Amino acid sequence: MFDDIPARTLHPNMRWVWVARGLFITVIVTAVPLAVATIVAAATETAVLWWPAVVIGTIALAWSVTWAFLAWPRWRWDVTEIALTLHRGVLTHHVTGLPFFRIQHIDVQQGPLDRALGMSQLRVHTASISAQLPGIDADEAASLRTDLLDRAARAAAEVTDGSVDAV
Amino acid sequence: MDPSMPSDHGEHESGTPPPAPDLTGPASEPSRPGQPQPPGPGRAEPPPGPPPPSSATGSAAAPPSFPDTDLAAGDGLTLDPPDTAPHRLPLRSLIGGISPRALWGLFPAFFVLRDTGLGFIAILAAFFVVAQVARFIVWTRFRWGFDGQVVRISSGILWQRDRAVDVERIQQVEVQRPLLHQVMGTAVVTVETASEGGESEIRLDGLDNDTATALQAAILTARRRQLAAAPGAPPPDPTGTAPSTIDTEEPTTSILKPPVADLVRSALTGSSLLVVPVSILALGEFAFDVFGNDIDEVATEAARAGARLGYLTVAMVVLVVGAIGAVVTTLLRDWDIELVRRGDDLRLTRGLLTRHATTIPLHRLQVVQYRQNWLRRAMGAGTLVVHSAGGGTPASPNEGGGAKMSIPWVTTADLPGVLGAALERSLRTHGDLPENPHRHPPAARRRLVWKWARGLAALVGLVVAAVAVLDVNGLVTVGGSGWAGVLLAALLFVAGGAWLFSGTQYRRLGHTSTPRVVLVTGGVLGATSDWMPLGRLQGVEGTSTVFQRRLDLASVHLAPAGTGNAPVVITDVATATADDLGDHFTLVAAGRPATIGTSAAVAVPPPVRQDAGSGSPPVLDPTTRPGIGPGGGPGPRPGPTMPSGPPRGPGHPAETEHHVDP
Repeated sequence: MFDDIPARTLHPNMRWVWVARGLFITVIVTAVPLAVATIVAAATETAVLWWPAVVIGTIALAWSVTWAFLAWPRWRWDVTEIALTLHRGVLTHHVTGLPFFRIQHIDVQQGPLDRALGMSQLRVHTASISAQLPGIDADEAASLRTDLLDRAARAAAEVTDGSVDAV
Repeated sequence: MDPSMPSDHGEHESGTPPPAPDLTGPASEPSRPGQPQPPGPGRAEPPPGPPPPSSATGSAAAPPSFPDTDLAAGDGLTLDPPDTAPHRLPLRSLIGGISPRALWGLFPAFFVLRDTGLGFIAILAAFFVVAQVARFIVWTRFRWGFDGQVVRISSGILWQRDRAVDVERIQQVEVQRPLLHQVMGTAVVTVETASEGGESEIRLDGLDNDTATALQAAILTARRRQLAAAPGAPPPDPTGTAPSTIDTEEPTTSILKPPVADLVRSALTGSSLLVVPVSILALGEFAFDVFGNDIDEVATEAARAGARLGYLTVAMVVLVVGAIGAVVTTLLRDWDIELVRRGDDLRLTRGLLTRHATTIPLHRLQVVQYRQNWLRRAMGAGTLVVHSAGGGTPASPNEGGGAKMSIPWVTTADLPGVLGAALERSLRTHGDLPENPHRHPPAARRRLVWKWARGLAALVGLVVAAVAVLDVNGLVTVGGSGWAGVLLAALLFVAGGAWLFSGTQYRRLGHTSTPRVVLVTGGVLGATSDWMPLGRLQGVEGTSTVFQRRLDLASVHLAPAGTGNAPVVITDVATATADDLGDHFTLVAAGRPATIGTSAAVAVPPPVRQDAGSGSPPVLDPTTRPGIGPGGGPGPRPGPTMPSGPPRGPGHPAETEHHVDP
């Protein structure tokens, strides 16, 4: 689970969602220093110091787009016998093992961009951590959830050890 | 009949994302063919053939199968087809849902806008209309459904959210009727699980009364049936077991009762020494408020008085007053502190003027932390904090589930007894506490050197910068050779400090596990030990940063239940070890008991006795056993990086066989 890479990838369109998010972040990150520079310029009656904002914006843009394309191949997941396993992360790698037995409930979410690109995201809640699984084919999301809930119910029925508590 | 239908303003099967007919068939089938690929390639899943648990229990016991019509008839609620959320809330829920508090929110606007006269009313009306239109749109997209197994809601306009809660995970179903709702004949149904968030997982605001009560009854019935169907399963919900009721006379046994002398010791060695200085600072602020601009004079006067007494005397006085303050506050808080065991609860009572009682049911206990700062470590004692899943559990309505309890002074001699009581549920089946933590690889030390060097360099950098500023302003003259000396000293300090601190911290790093309890140690000058009963482990996460990967290191986070309970982190173990630990603890979290002993033997590297000098893990029990459970692995224990596949295999069928009912 933890050392072998799970088989399934996210929907390829997930990259474009991340790129869009990167663009949005870039706009914010550029707008803030630009606004500060403009205010300072107005206060001191000097020319607007624009280049820091441009540098920051360029870096943000480059990184967020690069990140989107680096993150996609890193994002792998699978449903193993006992747990939902997620591998992800570009700089910091994360591996999450979420046993079905611990699943409390599952949300299927769909933002406007997700809908346009035919995807949904699953949010799997336990009593402590909740894992997000984005970029699931919209048609598949509901059945995946049913399957996970099914497995959760079955796992609960199987655990008989008295010192194992659901919460 | 059919009270759910009136709310059904129009068909709206189509309103929900999942196409119902598709799913009914496959949904109840355990492993459907077109479904997520079988567990990835590689070693992962040992049992030959399809995993027995899924194929067998799924079809036989089939708890997740769908509607019982008699259930529906009995409760006056028509169950929905699986995987649908067909119902709207009644339109009048929009009126019932108007919250008076939201109207209060407009109150400040009144002050801003009162001069606008009629305009104000117009603005207010506009606000109201916009808000109601928004609510109407939200209402049009809201759907709920209950198919006898899963409660569903689907909502959202731009961001659509579709939530499913299995009855088995439901902790509580509440029906409330606030005033406005009573007028409208509607109710609020809230469904709660044990999830990490604070709020209800499902909230149906404005369901008509009959549907609300019918829904509540149907959910509770389904849940009861579920629990009955799986007799072996522990009730996933404390409500069912009600282990801690106050009325039943449970025998109480005292576990620990630190004498007053110990409380004084804890006061004089801990952060409560800061109480007085901090309050003096606060007082200074207060004095500034009172004296205003005269504060300078007052301060000068005080300084002059201080000078007369001698600054040493003043310092002594402050110290003594600080100590007395610490003792007083500690005694007020912890007077007559006693930890008792009552039935299956831990109970801590304390306090001089007001007595506080905290109760933690043992089955909600999540983490036990033992913290020693260097002073307390030298004195052979420390603070013990017991964390629970918190939240007001229905199990103990009278005392409210305390999130945590802390005992200020537990000596290392008393520790095993307290731990034994706190972790009793886990030790019942597998006797021993974990001990002799495994050391982490030397690369962990290298990483610590860098961490300390970074931190100390930042600190020294600040000092050097301050000196430079003074130099520039001519307050201090450093001079060329002086600068060389300063830089050399800084370098030596950073290097020496990094080497020293990384060494002490590295010696404290450790982890070990029995089949039931994991122990993680850490600390720098002081020592920390975290015990976590594995029966409540919720999930596992492995992380490795860029820097960790360069040293072939990774960390393993073990998440306990409960909001705000930080995970127990095994920091900087070899990547291969982290992978094995991750696999192992995921299995444990999945509640696979039989496999635990086996894979513990595999996943955890052979124990290396922590040298006695570091002394961080308090010595617990003389009957030592290397942190491997009694089960042991079949055959010889493989090395640390051995893939845990083969040995785990035998565990599985053994565990699953008595569920696989033919």
